[in-house]
Order: sequence, then C-alpha cells, then structure tokens
Amino acid sequence: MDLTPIQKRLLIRRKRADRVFVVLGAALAAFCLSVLVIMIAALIRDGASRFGWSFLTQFPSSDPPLAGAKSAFVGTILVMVVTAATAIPLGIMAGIFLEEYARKNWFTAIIEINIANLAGVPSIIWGLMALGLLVYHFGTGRSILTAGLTLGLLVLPIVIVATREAIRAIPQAIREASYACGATRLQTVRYHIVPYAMPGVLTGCIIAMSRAIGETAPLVTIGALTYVAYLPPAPLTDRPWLLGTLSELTFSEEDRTKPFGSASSPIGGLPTPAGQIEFDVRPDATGPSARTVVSVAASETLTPAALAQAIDDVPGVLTRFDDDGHLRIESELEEWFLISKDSTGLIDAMGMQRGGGKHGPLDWVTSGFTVVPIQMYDWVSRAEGLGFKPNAAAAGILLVTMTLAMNASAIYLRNRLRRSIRW
Amino acid sequence: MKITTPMIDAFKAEASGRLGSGRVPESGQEVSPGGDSLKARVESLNFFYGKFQAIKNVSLPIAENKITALIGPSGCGKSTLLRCFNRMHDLIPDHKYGGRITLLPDGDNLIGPDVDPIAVRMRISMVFQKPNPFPKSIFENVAFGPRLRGISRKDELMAEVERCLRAAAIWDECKDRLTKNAYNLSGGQQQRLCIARSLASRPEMILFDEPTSALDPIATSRIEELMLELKSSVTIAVVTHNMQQAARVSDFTAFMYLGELAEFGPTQKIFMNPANKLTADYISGRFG
Repeated sequence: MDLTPIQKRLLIRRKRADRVFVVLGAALAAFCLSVLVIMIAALIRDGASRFGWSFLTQFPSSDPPLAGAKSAFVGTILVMVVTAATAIPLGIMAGIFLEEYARKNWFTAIIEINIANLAGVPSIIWGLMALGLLVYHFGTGRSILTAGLTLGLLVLPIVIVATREAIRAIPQAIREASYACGATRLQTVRYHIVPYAMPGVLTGCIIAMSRAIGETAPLVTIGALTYVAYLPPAPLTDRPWLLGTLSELTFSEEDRTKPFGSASSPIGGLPTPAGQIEFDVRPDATGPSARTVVSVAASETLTPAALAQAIDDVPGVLTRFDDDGHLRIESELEEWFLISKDSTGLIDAMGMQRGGGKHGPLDWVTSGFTVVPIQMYDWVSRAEGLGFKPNAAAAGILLVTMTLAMNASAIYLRNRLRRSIRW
Repeated sequence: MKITTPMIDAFKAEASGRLGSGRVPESGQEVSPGGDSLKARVESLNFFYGKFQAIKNVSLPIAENKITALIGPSGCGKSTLLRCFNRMHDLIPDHKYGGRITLLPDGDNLIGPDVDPIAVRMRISMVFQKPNPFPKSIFENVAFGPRLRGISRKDELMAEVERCLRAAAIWDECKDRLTKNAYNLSGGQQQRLCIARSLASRPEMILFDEPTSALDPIATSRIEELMLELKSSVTIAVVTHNMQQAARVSDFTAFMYLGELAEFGPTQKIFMNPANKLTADYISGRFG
C-alpha cells in the first residue's frame, strides 16, 4: 500500500497507541483479578483447616476447633429471607408506580431525589433508625424481623432504582401496542412491563442482596448477638415446656401414690401411659445440645411420685412437690434444660406450662440471631493466642461462598428469562 | 397563507345532492361525498400538547369500509389526528382534546371525557409505524387481545389466533412455529403479525400509522394488498408518507398542513385535480 512518509509515520504512531492501550487495559484487569484471587487464596490458606461440614453443624464454642458457625449461617439465611421478602416486592412495586403510574410533577421529583439520597445514607444511620423506630417504638426486639426489615430498607433504593432503569429500557412502542389492544394499565404492567423488566430487576436484586449479606454495622446497632448457641424455632413444631414452673394440678400425699390410671387420680383416669419424655440438655450455655430420654413404661401402677422420681434421675433436673402439692420440674442450670418432647401426654395433662402453644409458621422471626459477618468479626477480635484465626477465615470462606451461590442462582435465572425476551 | 378548510356541511350537501339521484339510505344513516355510509365524523377537532396546538379545527368524514389516507409533510399533525381516534394521547400528560369525533352509527363522541379510552380501543385498533410485536411467542401475541376479553380456554384461543393469522395472510408462514418468538419473523411478517393482533379484538376500524415505512418494497406491497382485503370488513384510516401508497390503496385522501386540513376528497380527485395549490405542490414533490 502506497502511503506518503507522513501518513506512514502517523499510522505507526496511531497503531502504537492502540497497542499501548490494549496492554494497559490487560494489565489493569489482571491486577484487579489478582487482588480477588489473592484474597480468596489467603482465606482458603487460613481457613481450609476449619472449613467443612462440622463448621456448619456446630455452634460457637470457647474451644476453636469445636467452634462452628451454625447459628450464624442459619441466621444469615433467615435474615436474608426477611430482607428479600420486604425489599424486593416493595422495591419493584415502588419502581412500577413511579415509572408507570405517577404523574411527573414536583412531588414525584422530590420522591425521586430522596430515593437517590437514601441509597447513599451510611448503613449505621439505618441501624440507629431501626433501633429507635423498630426496636423501641414498635417493640420488634433484637430479632431476625428487625434485622431483616433494617437491611430491607437499606437496600430498597437499590431495588427501586434498578426496577426503574429496567422499566425505562422497555420501548414505548410495546406499551402502545398493549394499550392499543385495549389493555388496562394493570394488564399492561402485569403482562408486559413486569415480565420484560424482570432480567434487569433481578440484576438489581443481586446487587441489593450482595450488599445486605455483608452488612454488619446496622445489625450491631440493633443488638445482634455475637454468641448464639441455639437456632430459631422451626415453624410448626411443639414448643418446649417451661422448666421451673408449677403444674396446675395439685397432688396430695395420697394422690401421689395413686396410679395415673385410677379414676380418682387428679388427672382423672388417664389410660395407662407409655412413651418417652425427652430433655434437651446443654451442660452449659455454650456447649452442644445433648438429648436425655426418660422412658416411661406402660404400667398399671405408674404413680406421680414414681414419674417425678424418674425425671429427677435425669442429670441436672430436679423435681419436687411443693407444699400445696404442685409438681415442680426445675433445672439446676437455668434455662439450658428444656423438656422438648412428651409422647406420654402426662406433662400436658398435669398442666405444665409450655413456652406458649405451637410455634406458628412465622415465630422464628422474633428469635434472637447472629449473622456470619458478626460471627467473623467476633472471632477476629479475640486475642491472637486463642487460635480463632482459622475460624474467622473459614467464616470468610462461608460468606464468600454464600454470596457467590446467591449471585450464581440469580444470574442463571436472569439469563433464562433473557432468552425468552428479545427485542 | 390562507388555507381553506372544507367543512363537513359541504360534504353533506354534496351527499344529499346524490340522494336525489336514486340511492336511499336507511333512516339516520349518514353518507360520505362518494355516497358511502359514514363510520365516523371528525368535527372541529382541536388537539393540544401542553400549549402547542397540533390540530386546528379539523373536520373530516371517514367512510365505512373504505380506506381514508392522511397525507402531509412531517409535523403536519396527521399522526396526531390518527391517534385521537383510539385515544392514544391519553397516555401522555398535558394533552387536551377539543371538538368531537363521532363514531357512527351509535353517535358516541370518541374523545368525550365520559367515554372510556379502553372501550374505544376495544373497537378501534391500531397498527404502528415500526413493527412492535411483544417479545413473546407468535401465539401469545395474537392471543393477548382475546385474553384481555376473558377468553382463557386453549381451543377458543387457538381458533381465534388462527382466524386472525389467516385474515392477516400470515397463517401459512407461521402455523408451524406458533410457539416461536415473534422476533424470529422478518420485518414484513412482524408487521402482518401486528395486523393479526389488531384484528383479534374484532375492531370496527383499524388505524394504520405509516405501516410500511420500515419495510422493503415487497413486504410493503403485501401489506397494501392486505389492507385492500381487510376493508371489506373494517374501516381503515392510514397515515402515509408515501404518495404512491396513498394513491394505490385509499378511497379518500386528506391532505394536512400545519395542523389544519388543507384538502379532503376522493383520492382520484386529490391526485388528479387538487383544488388547493399546496396539495398540488406536495403531491408533485415540490416540498415535504
């Protein structure tokens, strides 16, 4: 190709600039990637020894090799469920309202500016707001509900903004086509706007949930615990009976030796009992839970006194009849003993109090909790010599894995939706 | 420049002149200059976007089962006028209608504040400039209208979809891929799919807003043939930039200029012997 000398020189210079840019870009990309790789490698180096199945199935403990993140893992999942359940529907509906329904006037302009501002509010401020409004004013306590609502509000603007952007990307021609077919506004939103905006909305949800899962400051503010050795109650399970409370029925000296089956027993002639009474035993507040079972044999002659004696034999459990004849089942070690199951029906029949009926499907939201980042921080902040470093690193691996898993599923879902929508 | 605005009365007068020569319409039926019965009557229509007046005192008859073309240079208000018929302007804030568009034979004012725009759109459907199928399957595109009207049984929907696709002359091309995304079709096929979709509400009138401006000549001629087939069952109003198209398909032509109606009449007369110099200049390509 014939070029003048000047053209040639300029061409060489332009091509050199091109190459420099490619090299520079590749170097920067490699740098960013290597930071991530080094970070994950460091986590794995420090935490691999502790990370594993037992890390997920053990409660925290003062003994590093035994200390696990069970409660934090479950707590994070549950808090995320509440966060998603509040932020995603509210955010999507708010975004739809602002884009498809609200008239553009000074009032919606103010709302718009404030949503953008809310996205920039430091998370600790949200924590303070939640402490004052939710914990103290509405009395939601230091619960999963409070945490989920706080994080939900924190990430709500992200979902709203993403929803609005996704809706704006839908060509006006599609709306016109829908209205021209005689659709109402709701039908247009339901059949066209929401489905076509969904991939973009999901992207926003990924970002929102990734932000929420790592948040620590607002949860510390509302009083998340650092040391949780129990799980929130599963939905629809029996509540344990309270220990240390009295039976409603009274047993006179004479009654105590009458078999439960006899008609004159205060219980009123329960058919011959048989089955087991289970005690959930935790030797101390931090130890693993162990199960102790008292077997009650089917017997014509089982008496209240004999039952009391059998229960009394469980290590750490004391039973006695008080002066009025109420049976009292007590624990030596406060609340860490629970009667969790009674297949004989005797405990109920005697009128021992439960911790309040059955667990409803949503009782778990009122439970205390901790989350993985807080658990991690707790381990990091302990003295170097105590050896919690592997635990902290393992918690880091757990958190990164959870985030990646969440993102991967959302990206998969998004790409599947994208495939069916093409402009 | 003074533009004459032919008034509806002129048409009525001309029509009543023809009545004497034999044709006796049913009582109350109104007729167009050609002696055809009317589907709609635009009466002193004004339309404002905010403070800007896009349509100025336009009066115009729409003949039943005929094609009425709206032509004129860009920004003359022809699309705006078309969109008044199915109240598409209701989607934007700050719009204001004035005057009447009377839909016959029942005499409802289409732009009356007490008339539900959704009800209007169920009776008057629209085909747009750029093919705009929904990013869904071919079936779902056509089934949307029937679904809105509460038809949910699969066999009923299928029958309705087939009827519309056949009427839009696209059934043979897509009967084997009804579940495929509508965007797999070519531009011309997409536009015929949009016509099928607009037929699904069994409209009395279809508005075509420059339906072929995004299509190649072969696809264009297929759409034009289709319009000529459809006019036996529906009334058609078409906005077009293409003079030849207006001449080929329409029975009546309205030439608009700067928001006003410059001339209206049978297409042959407008193209062969325009009364207005502006019309003559525009048609002969001297401006626009």
